[in-house]
Amino acid sequence: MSLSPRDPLVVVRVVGDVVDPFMRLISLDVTYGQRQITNGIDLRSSQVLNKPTVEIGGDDLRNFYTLVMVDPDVPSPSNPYLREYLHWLVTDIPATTGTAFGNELVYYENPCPTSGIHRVALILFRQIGRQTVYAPQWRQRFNTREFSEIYNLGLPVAAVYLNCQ
Amino acid sequence: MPGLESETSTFHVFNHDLQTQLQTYPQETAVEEHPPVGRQNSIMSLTLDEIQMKSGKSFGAMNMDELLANMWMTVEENNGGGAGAQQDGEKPTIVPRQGSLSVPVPLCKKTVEEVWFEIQNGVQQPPPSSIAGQNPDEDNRRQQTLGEITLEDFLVKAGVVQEPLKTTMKMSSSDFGYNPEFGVGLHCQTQNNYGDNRTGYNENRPFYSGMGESSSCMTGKERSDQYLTGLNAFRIQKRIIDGPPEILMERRQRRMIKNRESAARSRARRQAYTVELELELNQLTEENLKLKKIVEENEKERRQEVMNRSTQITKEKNGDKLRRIRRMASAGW
Repeated sequence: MSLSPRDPLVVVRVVGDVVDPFMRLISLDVTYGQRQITNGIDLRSSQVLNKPTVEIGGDDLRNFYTLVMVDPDVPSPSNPYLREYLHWLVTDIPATTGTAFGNELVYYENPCPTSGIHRVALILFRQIGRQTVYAPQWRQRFNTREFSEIYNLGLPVAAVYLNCQ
Repeated sequence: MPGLESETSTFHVFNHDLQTQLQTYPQETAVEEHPPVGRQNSIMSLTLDEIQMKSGKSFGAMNMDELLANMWMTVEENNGGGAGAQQDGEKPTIVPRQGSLSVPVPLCKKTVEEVWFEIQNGVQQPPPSSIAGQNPDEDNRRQQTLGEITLEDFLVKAGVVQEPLKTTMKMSSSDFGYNPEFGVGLHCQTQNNYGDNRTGYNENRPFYSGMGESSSCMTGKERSDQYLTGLNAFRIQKRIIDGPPEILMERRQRRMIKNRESAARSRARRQAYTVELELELNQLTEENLKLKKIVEENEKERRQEVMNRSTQITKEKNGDKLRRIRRMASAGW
């Protein structure tokens, strides 16, 4: 289903600041501890200390997906000159499985905003093949759009975001 | 927050500035504050010519000390006339305590004309950092003759009075009364010349404006005590608090814009969350309906099953009965 202008991702400008408008194609379930993440949920940095369990949908195990976790509001939402900060990068995730089965190229770094309330977005891309995605050199100034272009990931197939402070 | 200080209305002792300030802060009770201000300002905004005419004396050759003495006398006369109805014969509270205003030693013995001369020469070398927009003003003032300069300007330039104070607008008029001599007197005690005045005042300013924010009803006496102790307490802040009005406006605007953006983000967050919740709610109710249907259908099926079973059983029973009955019948003769 394509994104309506009232979709949370659009309203909060994740679609806009981080990615372009896309269609949700497969399911993406992110769980921190006992908490299932729905768009816009507010968490504290203490609640996102450890990496979440992520399960994705789809049907064909031969399709591989990449999960990107970024914070576009670094160092502060009013002045995000370090946009974006890459917290986690997992590639080669087979459909219907989760990040545990993928390749953690950039290890999970817990979001710890010092100023303001930051959006933290988890975005799922479909890879064209296995081992076609590589890690960037730095975490800061990451650009999801560029990243997707370089590795031919196209538009996202799923995304979810949370607020963190 | 930097914005807060500049957002408290700058409270000027002097009339003409007060008007502009009132315009930029319409939310303050401008009408309320103006009348008491008017009285206090009256002497300050008069030109020296006018004061001379009023008091019938000529200031040119006077010492600074004498000038000040005459000033207060003129104020007294004015107030005596205006406040006569309220305070019969008593000295009105607004008459400044003469002890608090003392001209620094180097200045006090000079005549007014000498001081004016120095001012004019001093202004010839304006600091290069002054903003272009201000230079025309300075030029105009320079060209004023001694008589045309207002008392406030003269005192400011002479270094007797400092730039206008900043406090909250919400001062009561009684507090107000303390203000003029308060600001005037204080720094006189500490500085010797204009240059020193500036740095000294800036030192005081952060403390004072911080205070001004929180104390809208402090009495003048309290303030004077705190002001005195705060005198040497703070170093110059990097921030220009007493700067050209354009910079202050800019800073205020920037703060306002940032605030708006933050508010917009907050609203977006809230909206996104509620939309998400609504979506979830719809999803869940749909699911709920489906599940209920399924449950119902299952129930139906089971009942059907049970019905079928029972009819089957009865049929069998009937069948059995018949058989039994037949056998009985065939066993007969």
